[in-house]
Amino acid sequence: MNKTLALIQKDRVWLTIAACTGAVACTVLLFELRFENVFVLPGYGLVEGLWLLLPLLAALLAGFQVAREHLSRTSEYVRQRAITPQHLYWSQTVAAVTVLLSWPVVAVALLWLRELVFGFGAAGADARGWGILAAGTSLGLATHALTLFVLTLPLAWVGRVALGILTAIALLALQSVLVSFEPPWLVFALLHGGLALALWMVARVNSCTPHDPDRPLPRSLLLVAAPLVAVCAALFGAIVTSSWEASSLQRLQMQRPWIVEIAPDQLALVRPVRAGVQEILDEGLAPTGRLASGRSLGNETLAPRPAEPRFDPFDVRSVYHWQRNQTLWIRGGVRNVELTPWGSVRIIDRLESGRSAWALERPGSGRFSKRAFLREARRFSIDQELLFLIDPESPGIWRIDAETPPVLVPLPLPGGERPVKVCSANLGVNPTHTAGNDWVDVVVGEQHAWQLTIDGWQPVESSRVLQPFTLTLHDADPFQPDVEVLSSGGQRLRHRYTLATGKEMFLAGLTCVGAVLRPLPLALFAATQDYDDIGRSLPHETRWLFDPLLGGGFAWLLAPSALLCLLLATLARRELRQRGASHARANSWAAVILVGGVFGALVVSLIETRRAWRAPARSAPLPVVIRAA
Amino acid sequence: MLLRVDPRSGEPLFEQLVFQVKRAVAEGTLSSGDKLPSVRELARQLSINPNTVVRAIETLERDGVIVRRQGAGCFVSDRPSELAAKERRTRLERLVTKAVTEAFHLGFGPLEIREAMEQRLDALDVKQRKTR
Amino acid sequence: MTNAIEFRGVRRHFGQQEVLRGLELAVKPGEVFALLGRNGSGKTTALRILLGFLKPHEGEAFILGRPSAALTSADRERIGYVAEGQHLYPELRVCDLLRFEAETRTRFEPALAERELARAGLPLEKHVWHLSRGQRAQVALILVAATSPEVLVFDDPAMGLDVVMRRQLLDTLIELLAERGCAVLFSSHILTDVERIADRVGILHGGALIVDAPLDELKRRVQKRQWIPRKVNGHGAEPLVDGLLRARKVSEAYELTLLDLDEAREATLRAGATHVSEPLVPDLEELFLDLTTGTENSR
Repeated sequence: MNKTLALIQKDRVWLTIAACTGAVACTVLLFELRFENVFVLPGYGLVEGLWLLLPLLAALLAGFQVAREHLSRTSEYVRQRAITPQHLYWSQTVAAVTVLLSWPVVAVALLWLRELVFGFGAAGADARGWGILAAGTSLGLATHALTLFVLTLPLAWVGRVALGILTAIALLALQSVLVSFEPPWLVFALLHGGLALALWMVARVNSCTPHDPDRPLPRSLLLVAAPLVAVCAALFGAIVTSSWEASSLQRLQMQRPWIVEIAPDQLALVRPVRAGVQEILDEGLAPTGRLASGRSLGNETLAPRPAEPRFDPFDVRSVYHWQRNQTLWIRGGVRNVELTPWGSVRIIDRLESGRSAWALERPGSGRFSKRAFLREARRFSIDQELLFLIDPESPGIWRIDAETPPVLVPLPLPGGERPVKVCSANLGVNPTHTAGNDWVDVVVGEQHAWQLTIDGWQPVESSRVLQPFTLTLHDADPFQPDVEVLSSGGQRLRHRYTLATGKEMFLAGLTCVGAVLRPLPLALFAATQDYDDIGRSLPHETRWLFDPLLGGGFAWLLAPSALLCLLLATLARRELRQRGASHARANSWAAVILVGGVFGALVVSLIETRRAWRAPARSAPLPVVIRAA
Repeated sequence: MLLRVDPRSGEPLFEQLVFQVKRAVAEGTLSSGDKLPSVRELARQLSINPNTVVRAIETLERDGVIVRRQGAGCFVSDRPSELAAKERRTRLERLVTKAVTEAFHLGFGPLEIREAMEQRLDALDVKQRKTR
Repeated sequence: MTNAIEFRGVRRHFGQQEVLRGLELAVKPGEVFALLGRNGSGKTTALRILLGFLKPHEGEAFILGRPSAALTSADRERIGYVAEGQHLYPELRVCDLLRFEAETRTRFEPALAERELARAGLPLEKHVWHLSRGQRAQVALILVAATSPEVLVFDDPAMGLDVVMRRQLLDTLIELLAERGCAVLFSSHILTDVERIADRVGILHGGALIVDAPLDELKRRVQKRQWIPRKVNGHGAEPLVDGLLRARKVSEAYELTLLDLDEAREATLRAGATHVSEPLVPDLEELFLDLTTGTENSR
């Protein structure tokens, strides 16, 4: 114990500097985020601010921890005593973690003291606020552990940086999946704490294995590194290939002719020829020679081409509606209404007379879903504003007004209609508004369109509602979709897109390359999932797990993918055996390549460098001139 | 007593030290019964390895120049060298042969060599210090 | 008695460069061994391998009879090591260093260290960054000495120090040796210091020791002679004799460095010459230069 204290004490100057800097940064951040974000009702600002700042500081701290002995060039000085490398590592890590934990604690304590004197004290403190602080801190710990793990890898710097980026992206991908399932903060904090602990353990093995560029990675480390690297390479590969495919598919879609309403109730395929001018095509995609002005067509008349995401943007379940923060003018100030990530409504009134805050839960089930959103109703007078809240999952609509304390008034559509879309309607000049804002958000139910007024739902004439096109996909082939567009006037146009031009074929090829490069286990999984169904049901953040080609009728791409993996694995295995690696080592790296594909091969080449295995030609030493007993 | 060694000289350090002590005894700077500085002091004074000093002292003791008394230190011996007379004679002859040969090669005649030897002996005041 | 330090066929390369090619070296208990070599000859590599901070590609090093690769912290306590540059924590005061040593080395005697520091005139309250290089080296050595090491390994103690600093450092080292008599292996290229304290000298050249002998023996066996060849058909003969280490031509004459010149060899030498000078014993610096530079090396 004395040794540990001595090791920590010798670093006290730096630890104090780190503790002070971080505490000041955290205090300033929390102060800027306002008191109620921290104590009364946690908000998004806290999550975003804390989650950016703490990991950044934690990474810097880990960097310093690793560099500390190198900077003063005392690595050997500190080692040459009754201290094992493990002892040294854990002392340093414990000191760093203590400093890290002190940051939010000190910042919160300082702010709390300030609020006890100047503000409304601890009244109304919400346990969820502490949950977020814990989750943010756990994220900081995980970042510290990850940075430590990366920087202590016994590899050349290029390998450490590359593997670090790969591991970080893989973890972010996993995190996005985790967050999309909206876990409670405690679960989040525990998972990240556990991750941090695991990474610290691995970093311990790393830091007790000094980097030697002229030797292969020791076996002890290989047992830890190989599985970790395989998983990370696979996740990283999935992310990269997924965005590769998405971007080339999007570029392919941009190449296609558009379906637009060229005249009232007349649909046609057009292709842009130059800025603002469209060329009208016939059904065989041949130019008709007629041109149409892009401006006269307007954005609203563009039919949605089958693009990502493949569902109607006006649908209540669409991600485009995720407006979760609105401000109401109320008498004497403003009322801020926010849907929190953990499914409650947070309302903060900032009045001249002071601040008050509330947290409202969903009546009945307790939590609003992540797809719930807020919309403003038409304004009737300056201090009579209305909001409505729609939750498309287990559908419901609520009204929020200026009443104090605020209440969520259930406001179902008349006749028990289910909300289907949220559109705009042109209701003419609004008496209380300046010009240009004649459009009002209306909720389209199964039969009628409705607008919210002070007196409740009022029907809106369907002709005033901007009814977008309805797109039907008869065949969801990613390259050659068969679509049918129905205009609001009842006009139909059905068209099967083909890969007509060279550029379209090239982009389709690029997309296929992406699918082939997808790591094999994830490709197999994606091939079993229907991409179209997934797109409609799962959150956007998990999309990288699925593949538009493999899950959309191109499952045969698995064959070249598997062949490629096998080829790479065989080549790597042979190469490693030739260099002198053992069977076990060569086989385990081959397995990593089978799991991670091209990305696995990349990682293997970073770890098993040529230099580590190649010894120079042996030459005899110079003859001894004088040797005496 | 001022002792000095030259580390750059071709002669081993311990031999230099032995010679210097012997010369000090011969010149009368050290007389019988005088105490020699300790190994540590000598090493520190000359900035040389204590092992070298130990070796020099061992040689001096073997040659009978000094005696070591347990716990008290080293003292200049009051007895004649314990080397066998024959051995001493051989060494002397070797030394003289060497000196005479070198002097001859330097171009000196017997008279000059003898004269130089006499001078050296007078300087050492051997008659006064004669031990037997 | 086992050797305090031993290298057995140690090979190590960095990339395609072979730094050590089968280094064989032994230091007996109580012996002071000077490891000499030019910059980049592998001295630091050898010492780092000895302390287990670097792994050799072949062979093995032993210290106090233990393989270097498996030194426990108990073993490390018996070994004093001062790395190249003698770096200490610059932001700490000397007394903080003392406390740190006392907590992390069980054999450390603070009283001894304090006495030595006072004797060397090193203030306890000074920060390490205020110390000169020589003082830093002294502090590092005193800290190591206060643990009563059984073996002391010192990497280039004199590097970058002026004459006075070197002498002070030397005094500290001699004090340590006089008091404890531990085995010492130090690397250096300041050769006068070596001649003062080394019992045995090793010259590391081309990845192995080309010289490994007691200093006295070296001085006894090596000599220099000037040699003017007899002209044969207007051409001077080459000095060809066993034990010739190096022949350097200065106009007509040769400067020969010779090993173990006995009467037979001397006769051979005289046979081919119009003049052979009296023997001159080279100092270590000359010997070092003769053995590690030039192309005329031969057996």
